[in-house]
Order: sequence, then structure tokens, then C-alpha cells
Amino acid sequence: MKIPPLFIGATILFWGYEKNLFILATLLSLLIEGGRFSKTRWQLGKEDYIKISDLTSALLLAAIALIVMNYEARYFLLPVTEWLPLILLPLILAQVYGADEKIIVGTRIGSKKKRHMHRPMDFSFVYAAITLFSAAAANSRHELFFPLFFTLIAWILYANRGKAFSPLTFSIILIPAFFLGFSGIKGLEKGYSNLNQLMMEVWEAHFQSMGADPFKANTSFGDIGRLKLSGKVIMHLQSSEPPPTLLKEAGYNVFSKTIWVNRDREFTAVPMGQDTNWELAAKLDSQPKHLHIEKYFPKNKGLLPKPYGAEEVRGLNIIQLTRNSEGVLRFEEGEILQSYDISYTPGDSSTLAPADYHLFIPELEEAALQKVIDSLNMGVLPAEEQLIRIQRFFQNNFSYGLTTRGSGAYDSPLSNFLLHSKNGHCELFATATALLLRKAGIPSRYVTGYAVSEKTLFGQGYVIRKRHAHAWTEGYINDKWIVIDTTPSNWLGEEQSAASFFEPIRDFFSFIKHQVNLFRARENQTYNLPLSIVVVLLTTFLILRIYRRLNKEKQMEEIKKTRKAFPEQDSPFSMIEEALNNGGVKRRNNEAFHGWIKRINTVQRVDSARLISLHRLHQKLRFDPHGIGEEDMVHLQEGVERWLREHSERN
Amino acid sequence: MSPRLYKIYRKTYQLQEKYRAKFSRTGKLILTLLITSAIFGINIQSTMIYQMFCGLASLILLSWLFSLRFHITVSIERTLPETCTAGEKLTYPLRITKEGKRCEQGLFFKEELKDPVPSYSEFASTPEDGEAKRNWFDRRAGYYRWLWIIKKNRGAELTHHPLPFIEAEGASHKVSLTPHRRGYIHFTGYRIFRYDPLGLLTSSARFQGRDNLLVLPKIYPLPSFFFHGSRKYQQGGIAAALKSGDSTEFMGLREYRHGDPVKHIDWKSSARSGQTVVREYQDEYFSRYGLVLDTFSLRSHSEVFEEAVSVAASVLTASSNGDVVLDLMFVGPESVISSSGQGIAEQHHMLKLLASVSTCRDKPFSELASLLKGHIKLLSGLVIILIDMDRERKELLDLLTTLKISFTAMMVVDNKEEGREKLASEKVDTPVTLLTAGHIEEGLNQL
Repeated sequence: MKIPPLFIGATILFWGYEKNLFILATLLSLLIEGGRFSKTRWQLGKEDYIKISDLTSALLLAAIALIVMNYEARYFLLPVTEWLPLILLPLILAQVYGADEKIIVGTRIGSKKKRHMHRPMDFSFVYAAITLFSAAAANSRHELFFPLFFTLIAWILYANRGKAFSPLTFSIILIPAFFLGFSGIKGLEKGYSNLNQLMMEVWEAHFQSMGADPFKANTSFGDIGRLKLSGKVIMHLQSSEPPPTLLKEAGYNVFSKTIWVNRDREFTAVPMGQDTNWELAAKLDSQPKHLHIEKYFPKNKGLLPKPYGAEEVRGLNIIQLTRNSEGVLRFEEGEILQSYDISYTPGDSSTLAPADYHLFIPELEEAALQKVIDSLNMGVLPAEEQLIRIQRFFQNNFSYGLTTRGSGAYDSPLSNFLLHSKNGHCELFATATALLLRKAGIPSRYVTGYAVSEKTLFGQGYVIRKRHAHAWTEGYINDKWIVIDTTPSNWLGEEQSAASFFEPIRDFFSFIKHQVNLFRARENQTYNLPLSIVVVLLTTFLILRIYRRLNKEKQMEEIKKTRKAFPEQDSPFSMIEEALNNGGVKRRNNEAFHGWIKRINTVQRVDSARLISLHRLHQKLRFDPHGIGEEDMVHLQEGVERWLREHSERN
Repeated sequence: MSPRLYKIYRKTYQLQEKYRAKFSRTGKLILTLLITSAIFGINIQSTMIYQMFCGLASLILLSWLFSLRFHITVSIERTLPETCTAGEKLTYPLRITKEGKRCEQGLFFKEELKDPVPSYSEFASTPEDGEAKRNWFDRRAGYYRWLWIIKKNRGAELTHHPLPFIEAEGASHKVSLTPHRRGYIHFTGYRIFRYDPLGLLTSSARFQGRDNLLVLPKIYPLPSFFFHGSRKYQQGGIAAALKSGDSTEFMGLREYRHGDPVKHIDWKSSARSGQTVVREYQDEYFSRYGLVLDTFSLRSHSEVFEEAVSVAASVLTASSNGDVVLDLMFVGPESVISSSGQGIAEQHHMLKLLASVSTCRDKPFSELASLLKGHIKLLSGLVIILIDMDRERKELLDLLTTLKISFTAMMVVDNKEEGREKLASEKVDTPVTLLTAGHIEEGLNQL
């Protein structure tokens, strides 16, 4: 396949135009196309090509590392693709400025180390194709992208067109091809937009979004089977005092079959103080407790877990903090890793008056709830007493389990739980408690968050894993919201028993990664400088290695030239060779002396050992750069004379 | 070997062949770009790769439409030689005849050989050379074996040749191929094709044209092969050595002795002298050597055997001077002794024999030993090429030593170390030159 002159330069310029790096692209283009005008050619060997390939791999890895550390790790592919023309530059330069038409792209690392054969390849068209891809990955949205791309492709096709047809036929075909491609683009864009719309509708109708939603919480009631709980660490806590046992994340007020939703959708902004602090409540205690939380928010937004009695938050790296009537904190835009301090006074809770919906009971659950309330004989007892009876009811009759059973023979999974199975996980306990309280006339809400129970193995503080996610109830009693957690206290132990054997190993790597992320967040370090230094060092090392080899070869050539200048010296050994040749067994072309002697020995006996020792001296005379030395020369002459004498006597 | 794997390989190979035949190099590159852009361009909002996809797809589509119609008005006649040599480039002429009025250009010619896809039984029973050294997975999957059998069965690497501009009176052109193994290469036909205007796809027409080409074994340079041994009296002279009959070189007359053939009686002289007189003919003395090829192997095909055949062919061609008669001995489906001497025709005939020789798996080595024993008295020297060493082979070598016949024994091996171990374990004290497959020339130079 032919690559027309200046084609690679043009693709680089196209890439620069798309990536808005026109100056860099022009320089690269000149560097690559300059090879056509330069008469200098590097004599690169196979090992040099392999070193260049390894350098390119190192550059690629460095680029990936740079992007992973500076951007979101999942999306490294696209930025790396965009920069490939620059990353692969050493290889294309090796081809353009090297003496060979083809280069070797390979490695000596790993299994390819031992005498692996690498086939030479023409890298230029691979490079051109990659450059076109990189230009497209830059996503410039330029109107000229397609016409320019098509022109480049037409250019290379013209150089490789079928010779059975005229250039006119070729040009005529390109016109419908261009319009067909253009129509295809418009069709795809329209189709994609329609598909997107459709998917959004289907998504909204059938699926629920992942993670904590301030307006909606899905429960696992409807599922059947055993819940799978992940041991992944999602939060780190540090506190000088014993930490709070629960961290509230979200609160919901209306229940329907298996979903809790929040009727009040309004969030109000929490004003930011002078010191990048957000005041959540009036400070009660002169010496509040402090808690440091580090949590990841992969979507750059989310709900902020906080202890009960939170008064002030500091250190958040966000644009704005908002909250709703259920006491939920939310931010819409911020860093992925939030490392913040909360000061709180334990025991303090919200006094915000409940609304009507805090007493709402779905019709489906009425019968089962009524049956339970009847069995508890609560009559007209005060609210505190009613709460105690409900708590005892769960304490005495229910057990914790991770198996979900669905509705079974009952109207709903909750009825099944209350009247039949009496075994379930925290979502069921929290929902049942909230609804029983409501049935007894006490306003309640369903709350989700995390239980703090596990100390970290590495460093100080506590870790919160995915499986520590918890649900409980808040009831409005005596004009304030209090926490009611009816889930049997052994739930943490039960879930711990489901932990993986390899959890400590995973924790260790998670800890390392977390520390790196914290360091980055603290230092705001981009790693551009150290990685650039590494790249420059690697490149210098490679160039030095190749230069040293080229230099060495040059020196060797000099030595060869000097050697040729030595005057030739007659060796007495040539007489022996002549005598042996006359003996009948002629020496073949390119036959080694030892092989010849061996062959002669099959016909007539000769003293091989002596001959070989004399031959060694003869070789020394011919090839030793330091010369043979007087003593050895005498030895050779005498030896030859003696042998010839004996040889003539024998014959 | 799993039949399912065999089916997958067969199907993949067929698809691969179709792909190779249909796409030009540029076409392959554009297709690769098209597939890659289809994969990476799915999200049309995050990149503009989908625009690449549309452009490339439209080009391939138009190319394909153009490649559908292809009408050719030429026919080609090839002139193949009867034989050629493995590893050496063969050039032969094509005669292109134009049947229509249109002048043709931009056409390509490619030979078509017999389908190299092995049958399942061949695939399952023909292990690749050195397969035991492959890892467990490769041995189980047998993919390398598949590639090896395909290459072996194909016999020669073919490339396409651009045809010259064909005018009214037609044209002639020379094409070449390099066979890489001995034996027959079966030509089934040829293909004439052209690239579409964009140069991405081909349009082709297939033509019947059956022909066979016998590839003679690879020959290594073996300058002045040195035979030991003396000239011997050959009853009946050289003619008898070649076929049968007496020498016609008249020497004189003598009295009849009991046992003289009646046809040698000179009736006129007998009538004149009154005694029975016979004509005496000059019998000849010349060197007659044996070339023994060991064909006894459990495998139908092995590199070692192929190399042994090449060594035999090399010895045969190296010894082709007028003074020497060489008897080639081997056991195939039947025991064969063939003589060559003064004349290229006989040597060529023997090379053809060697081109078709295959391993003998159903007879014992003693067949070759008894063939040699019956013939050995006529021989001045012997070259014996072995492919293994065991008790029977050692006994044969011992016998040759006992008979004091001058001989050179060679053994072709995969690995020199293994060969030495075999010789040591069988306690072979006769000198045997080890020739390593792949480095035969090195070994032959040691002779």
C-alpha cells in the first residue's frame, strides 16, 4: 500500500485543527515530512527499534497514568486516543529517519524476551489511521470535519486506486460516496436523538436511578432471595471521641408498596459562612463534638451523611449546599472526594412540625397493621408507652435475616413480614415501625444512612462499607423527632459474617488508593511535572543508548580500517598447508582447518595435535592485534620446519 | 482433536480465504477502520468517529456495487515444466489470448491450487513437527497443527501477478512460484481479477485449468562427494548395471568352456577350426555405490524424513559423474532398487522417485536390511541415510562393518543432543554423521 508524499503531514495538521493545537501539529508535521528532504539516515538495528517501541509503550503508560490521575479513571481511553499521534511520534520518526523502509514494533519484555522473531512492518499507514482516529476522538464538532476527513481518505485511495479504470471514473464515484456518507451522518444523528428520547422514557418508566435519591428510596422487599452485601469501603471517619452510631443521609415520608418517596421536593440553600463553613443549626453546647468524614461522590453530587445534632459543616469543596424539610443535606456540584468536618451535639434533633403525609398509610398495608395494633392493645396509651410496646413487639417476635421472601401468600411483602415470616432486614423493620407508629397516630418518617461500627485496620478511625448502609425510623414524640431503630442489634454481626475472606487485602489497596486521592485533594497536585521529567529522562536514556551503539560501531569501523593498514606477513605455516594439499586430500573452499585435518586422518595418519597447536600460532600471527611475539614466532618457525622434515621422511 | 474445533478452523479458513480474495490491502485497512469506528463511535455525542464510520461505509458500499459486474474477454494458457525443485523459484510462461474486442488493463492473475484443507482424519492423525514441545493448550487446540498442515498441503506460496496491457493480438507474460516441499502440486485453475475504481474490492472470474507439477526434493550443495571403496568387476558391464544385457565390446576368441552362453559361440570360427570357439567380450570395471534411504517411521510426515530425502537427492546429484553407478535403495509400498549412471535421464528418474517417496509404516526395517544384503556384493561403497537408531539399524551397521565394505552413515535428527543420546544408548560404535534438520548443510560440510 502506497502512502502519498505529504499525506502523514496532512493528517497531523487535520488532527491539530480538530484538537485546536495547530502550532504543535505544524511542528510535528514539519518534523515528519522533513524526513523526505533530509539526507541523514540513522542506521538503526533491530534492538534499537525494540528500544524505541518500549519507549513508546512507556510514554503510553505515562500518558494513561497522567490522565487517570488528573481525570476520572474510567474515561481515560478517549483522552489517550486524542494524544496518540504525539505518543507514537518516536516510532514514526524511527521509520522516517531510519535507513530501513520498515520498522520493528515489538518488545523484549515478558515472554517475548528470548529470541522472539519480530516481523518488520510499514508503520506509516498505521500511524496515519491512528491520527485520523485521534482527530475524530477530539470531538471538535467542526462542520468541516467530514469534508476534510473525506478528502484525506480520497487522497490515499487515489494513490492506491484500481488501474483498470480511469482517474475520471474514480472522481465520479467519490461524489455519490461523499453525499451518501453525509446523509448517513445526518441519519445517524437523527436516529440517535430519537433513540435517546425513547431510552429516556423507557428508563424512567422501568428503572430507578442508582444511589441515594432525596425524593425516592427503593427497598428490597419485593425481591426474593438472599441479599448480596458488598464489603467495599465507601466512607472513612475520624473522631477524637467515640463516633455517633448512626449517620443520617436521607429521609422519606410517603410509602407505596416497596418504595419510599419524599412528598416535599423543595430544597433550600444553606448560607455559606465567611470561613467556607455552613451553619446547619444554632449551637447549643459550647463544646460540641467533632467528626471528620471522607466520602466519594462519583457523580460529583449527592447527599451528605451527617450525625444527629449536626451544627456546622466545614471543608466541603462544593458550589452550594441545600437541605429539605426532612433534614437531608445535598450538593449539586463538587469534587468527587469530599473531606469535611462536622461539629455536632449528640441527642439534639429536629423540632420541625410534621406534615399530614407523615401519617399517611397505604391502603394495601392497612389490614396487616390493624391486626398488629389490635394485638398490642395500645388503646389510649401515651405516645412514649405506645412506642415502647411497638419496640418490644419487634424485640420479642422478630429476628434479623438477609433472606427476602416477597409477598408470599399475603397482600404485600410488608404484610408477609409482619404476620408470617417475622424475619427480615433493616428496610422491613424501619418501614414496619414507621407505619405502625402512624397507625398509632404518631407522625413518622423512614430514614436511610449508615451505621458506624468498624474500626479501620490501617491507620486510625472508622470505615463504613456498603453493607453498613442502614434504615431506621424517626418518630415525632413530644414535639421533637426521635430516632427509633427496631432492627435487632445483631444485624451488623450477621452482615459481617457474609464478608469475603479477601476483604483485608482489598481494604489495603483501597486504603492506599484513598491516601493517594487524599494527598492529591490536599496538594491539588497534577503530576504533570514529575511525569514529564520521567518521560524526558526515558527519552534521553534511549537516545544515549542508541547514540552509544552508533558511536561504538563507528569506532569499530575505525579499528577495522586501521587493521587493514597492517602490512601482511608471510606465515611459515602456509608451507604445511601446501604439503598437505599435495598429499591427496585437498582442502575444500571455506573448509575449516580442523575439519580438513579430521578428513585427512581418515585417509592417512597425521599428527593432529601438533598441527593444531602450530595452526593456533599461525592464527595468532594473522589475527592477534598485539602480534605474535618473538618467542612464539621462533616456536612456529621451528615447529614448521620439524614437521616438514618428518613429513618428507615419511613419504 | 475435537471435531468441533476442526469445523471451526475449516470455516474460519474458508472465510479468511474469501476475505483475502475479495479485499485489497487498502480495502482491508478501510474495513478495519470501519469496524473500529463502529465499535468506538457508538456514542455520537462524545466523539466524531461516527462521521468516519459513515464516510468509510459509503466508500465500501460503492466499491462493492462496482465489484458486482465483471466481464472478462481473455483466456490464459500456462506452460508448466514437468518438474521443478523445492525451494527454488520456478518461472513459467503464460499465453494470454484476447477473445473480445476490448483492450484489457489493470488485470491480475493468480493460480488456484487444490484445496489444502485436510480431512478430519488427516487433521487428527498428523501431528505437527515438534508438537510435543508446545504447551498443553496449543496441543489441545491444535491450531498450530492446522496451520502447518495447510502450509504443507498447499505446497507453494502463491502471489498475484499483474498482467500486461492486453491488446488485439494478446500477450505473453511470465509468472513465478516457489514450491516449498517435494511431491506433486495440483493446479485446479486460475483466477483473473481486477480492483474496483476505488481500489478496495476485487471482481474476479475463475477459470478451469487442471495441471500437475512434480516438485523434486530440495538439493543441498555437496561439492565433490567423497566415496571410499575400490572399483569392482561388474559382470555384464555397465549395461547390466543399468538394465540387463551384455557389453558389446569385443575382446577376442577362445575355446568354449562349460557354462558359456550358446549365443556367444562364433559358428564361423568353430567351423574353421573344428573346435567350439566362443567370442569373448570386454567386461568392465567401475565403481558402483549404493544409496540407502531409511523410510521407516511411525509418522506419515516429518521434517526429519523430508530432510533425509533431500540429503539422498543431494548425494545423488553430487555423484553424477560418468565413472560412478549409483543404486538407490529404499522400501516404500514395495522394495525399490533403481540405478543411475551415465545419463541425466536416469538421474532425473531417480529424483522423481525421491519426489514421491513416502514413509513406510507397515513394514519392518528388516525389509530394507534384506534388500541391501542381497545386493551388497556388487557394491564398492555405500551411503546410508538413517532417520532413527534402534537395534535393527545398529545390526545393519555392524554387518556392514563386518563385511568390511566402505560406507558412510548419516542420521538426520531433530536435535543433535538427542541424536547423540540415541547413538550412545544403542552403543553404536560405527561413525555416524549427525545431520540436524534445518542445518543440513552444516552437517554435510563435516563429511
